[in-house]
Amino acid sequence: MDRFVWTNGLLEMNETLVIQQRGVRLYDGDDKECCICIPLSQVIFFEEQAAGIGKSAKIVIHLHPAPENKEPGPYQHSKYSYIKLSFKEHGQIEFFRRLTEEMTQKRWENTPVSQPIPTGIGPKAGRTRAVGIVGIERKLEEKRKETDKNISEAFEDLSKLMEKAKEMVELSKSIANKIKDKQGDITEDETIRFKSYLLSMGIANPVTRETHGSGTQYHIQLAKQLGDMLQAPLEERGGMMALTEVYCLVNRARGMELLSPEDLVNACKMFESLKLPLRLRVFDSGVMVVQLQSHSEEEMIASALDNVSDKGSLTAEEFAKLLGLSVLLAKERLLLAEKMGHLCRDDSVEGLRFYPNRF
Amino acid sequence: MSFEWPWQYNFPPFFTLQPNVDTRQKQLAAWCSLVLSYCRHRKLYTLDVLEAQESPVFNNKKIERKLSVEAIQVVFEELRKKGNLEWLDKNKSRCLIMWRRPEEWGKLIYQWALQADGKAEMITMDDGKGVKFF
Repeated sequence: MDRFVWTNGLLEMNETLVIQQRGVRLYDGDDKECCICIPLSQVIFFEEQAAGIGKSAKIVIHLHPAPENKEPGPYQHSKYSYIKLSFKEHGQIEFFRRLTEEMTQKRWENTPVSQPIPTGIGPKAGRTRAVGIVGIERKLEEKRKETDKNISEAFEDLSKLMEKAKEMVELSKSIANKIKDKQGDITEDETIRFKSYLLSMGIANPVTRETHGSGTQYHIQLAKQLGDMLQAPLEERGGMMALTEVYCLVNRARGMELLSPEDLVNACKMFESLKLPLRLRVFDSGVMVVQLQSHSEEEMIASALDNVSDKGSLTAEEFAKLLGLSVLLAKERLLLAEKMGHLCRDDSVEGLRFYPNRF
Repeated sequence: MSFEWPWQYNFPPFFTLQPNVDTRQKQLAAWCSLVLSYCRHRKLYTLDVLEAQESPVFNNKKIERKLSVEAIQVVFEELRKKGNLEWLDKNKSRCLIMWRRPEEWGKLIYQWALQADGKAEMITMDDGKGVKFF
């Protein structure tokens, strides 16, 4: 459409405003896809002009002189070499940012220069405002692409880390194999030292093929320490302590360098394999206790039965008080005795009581 | 003649459904025989579940213990399996207590008939509860 002329927005003398309507689309004949465009390669420089009172924010774009082979446009000749885009309804910040990105990327230099075709795909400089739903859709699409790009960038670092980690594991495996092969050449000390390094890094030792889980050096030492430390408290408490009690006791004693619950559990699991006189035991209800190996369950149950028979009946609280145990452990013992058929229960509003099983 | 309660009746755990399987079996057996003997003593032929909760069988006021509704249902189910109970309605709210099972009745009546008349013929009807007399 070559009949457009520039004009100012004011009404001339013989003109009256008949109607004003936004959101009107311009068709060239029946051709929907017409819009004006300026190739970004023409842009030398651009800057923001902040909004003022009565003035909306603007982006000023300075352009090269028009090239000889420019396609026909609205005005063949203009005295200015810059244009201003006035954002009457904001959006200038995003626009500015995208323009900056495009100018740094200079994507048009990578693609072959094609004749600028006035068919809808105008570069961003031409589009000052989103045009209805199509504009919104385009924005959404761009945002999605942006997000995709960001995510893949972020994970690029991780994938590099994974590659390095794989290399590390391969390396240690190959060294371990070499040790296995050349058993005679490397001295005992070095082998042991290297094995301990492997263990401390958490890589299972392939040479000895221990089957009791991936016991690391730290847990082993910790288990030994616990073995020494817990003997006395356990005997005081009748040979059994809940794991929570152990946790509190140990950490209080340590002061600094506190243990995490996970480390404690892992260390306790190694008691048996390290032939320490302690055992980690899990009840049906999930309660975990540490008990002395010398502690025999049958004895405990038999004595529980005696206690209950003496008193006729007992609740868990009464039993705990009698033995100096914690209520939790007392209940576990009574439940165990019930499971074995020595006791039966009386569940009422008064609470849970245990009687000798007379059935 | 007043009813003689078994020793379990005054044992509080009797009124709690035992979790231990072996103990529970013994408990349920004791309950079944208690219910049957009580019904026989009081000549009760039907029981209503809601009323049963307040009946002295399931509610021992002296030791302040009573059997829960779920436990009563379990006892009734046990009786039904043994053949001593039949539900009179679909909702299981009313039941027939047979402290003598039909076969036992049949045998008794047959023997009495033989004694009394010398002639009797046992005929089974559809539900196996019939004896025809001559």
